[in-house]
Amino acid sequence: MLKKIVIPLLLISPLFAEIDWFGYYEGEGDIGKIPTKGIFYGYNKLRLDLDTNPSENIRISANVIYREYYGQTNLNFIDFIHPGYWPIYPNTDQSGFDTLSYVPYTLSDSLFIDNMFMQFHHRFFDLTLGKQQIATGVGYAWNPTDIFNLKDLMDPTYENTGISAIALSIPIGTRTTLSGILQPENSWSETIQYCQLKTGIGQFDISALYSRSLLTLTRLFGPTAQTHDLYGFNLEGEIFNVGVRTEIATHRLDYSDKLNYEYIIGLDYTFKNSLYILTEYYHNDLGAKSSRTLFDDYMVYYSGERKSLNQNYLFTLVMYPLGNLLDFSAFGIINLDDKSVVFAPQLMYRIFENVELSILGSWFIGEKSDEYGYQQYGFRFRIRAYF
Amino acid sequence: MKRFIGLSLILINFLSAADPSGPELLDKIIDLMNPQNAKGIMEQTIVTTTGDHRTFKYETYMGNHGESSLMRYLEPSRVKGNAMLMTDYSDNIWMYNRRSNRVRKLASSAKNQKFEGSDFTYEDMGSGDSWRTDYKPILKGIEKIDHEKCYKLELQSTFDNNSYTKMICFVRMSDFFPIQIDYYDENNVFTKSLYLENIQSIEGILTPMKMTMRNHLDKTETVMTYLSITYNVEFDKYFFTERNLKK
Repeated sequence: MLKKIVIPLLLISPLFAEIDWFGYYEGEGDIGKIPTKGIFYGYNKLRLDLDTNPSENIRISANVIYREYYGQTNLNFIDFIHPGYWPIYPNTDQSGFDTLSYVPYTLSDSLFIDNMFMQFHHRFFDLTLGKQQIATGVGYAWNPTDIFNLKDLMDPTYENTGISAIALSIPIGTRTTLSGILQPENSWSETIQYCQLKTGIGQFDISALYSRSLLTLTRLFGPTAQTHDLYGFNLEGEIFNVGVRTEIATHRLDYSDKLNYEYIIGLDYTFKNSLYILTEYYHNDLGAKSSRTLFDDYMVYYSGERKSLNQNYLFTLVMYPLGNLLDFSAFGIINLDDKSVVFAPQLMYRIFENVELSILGSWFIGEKSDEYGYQQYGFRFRIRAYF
Repeated sequence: MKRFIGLSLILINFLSAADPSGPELLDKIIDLMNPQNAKGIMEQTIVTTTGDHRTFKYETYMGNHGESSLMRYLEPSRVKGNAMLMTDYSDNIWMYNRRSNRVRKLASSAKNQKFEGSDFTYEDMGSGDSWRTDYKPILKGIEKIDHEKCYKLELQSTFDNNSYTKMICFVRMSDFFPIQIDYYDENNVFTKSLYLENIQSIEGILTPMKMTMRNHLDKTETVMTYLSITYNVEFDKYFFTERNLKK
């Protein structure tokens, strides 16, 4: 339905205004080492954006992405998990059990419309229709109150895939906004409903939110679905010049009386010598206790249906500019439950006006059965050229 | 030439009763440099230590005598559409990333950081009126800068958290417009100078069409040039808000 509205508008928009074309090419190569093998794959990605304002109050924007993979594109999901977690199942003649050792994971070339939306700005409201970027939450590494997006912990600022939704925002004063988002699905019970009241008090931005969705969890022997109510609170501001970011999400599943809590507490500070430090503590009641982690927990986590494998984590990032064009950064993620760690330093060089080059290394430290202990190391090379 | 410039910088240091006091002079500077409202397009060129040039172009809006400002990038493609909102004289800073549609509030500790890798800090871009409370103005005398007789006004920091321990403004005696500001860091080291050049009267308001910030320690400089500017503009109460930042 949304496409039926937006596509004709895109087609006729040149009649009203100039279309702004831009985008980028991104090339990436990834090398990794796990106990059983080395892995190499990469992709070439082209993102082409168009943006136009047919009138002062209307913006139409869309982008198409083509991504082509190379290298080892047929992967085995099981390869990334310690054999101790591999599931067993009854063999065909019921004479015993076999261990599941192959779950295919294929990196497929794709061409798709990532975002395609129309924004209408009225004096009393802003309305966005179509596939759009929805960014909720104030955390850097985790966003417990964001039910729309999946974040890659190894690359938390990477752009998200567009969400097909209707978003309405009503300003109430200069720093207070009431927002509502609907992500239509097959039925009303599956449709994601989200509303948020956000306001500013002094140097703090505060928001309260509620959402209802259907939480589907991928399991080895079939998915399960539960009604998911989320009551959330976000705070972003500063105390004594230290940035403070907090998100609290209270989950209620299938109308149960039992509430599950998920939250972050984050601090950040920039020193006068330009050294920037950010740290976030994350807790998730829905994560598995480290001693009770199962293969299904990995499935749910890697499917993005849960934001963590276990319950307690610490993320720390440091950044330091090495001149005008070169930035050094490094982050560490600690699973506080099993004490495993991933450490990842990165160099980012703005090699030309519109070209960025980044190199990221990652080292995994811990027992083989720990979350970050099984993989050994990895490198990521990425170049992005904007036009 | 060097000898000539040197001669022109000889301290004249005579002040008369008719000369304004330090606070009066600072009030005049702030009033002149922060008109009610402004809207323009600026080009910013960063010259790095290796001589590389990086050029940005952005729309800039200023309201309520510099209390609020909004900048939206037009070029290069890498940052096109990204925007920054500052309110309360840069006490509140929000950054908007257009590709992710995410707004992030910066802590005050980020104010002294380089703005997009330039030699300007966020604080340089939006401090405006806060000089009145954050610095103590002392008139130090009169000097000649490039043939112009100038008041030498020293602004001494009154708070430990200020990015600079002092600033020295050279203010034209003819119209009280500053043409050079020298910055001293927290260790009282002379770090950079801002040169305000090609000062024109636009709609009756003196406007430096070119501003060059030269970092004497890093040997870098950033040149900001107005490509267009107007002061005949009104903003509604929602203009300097997060809502407009995301438009």
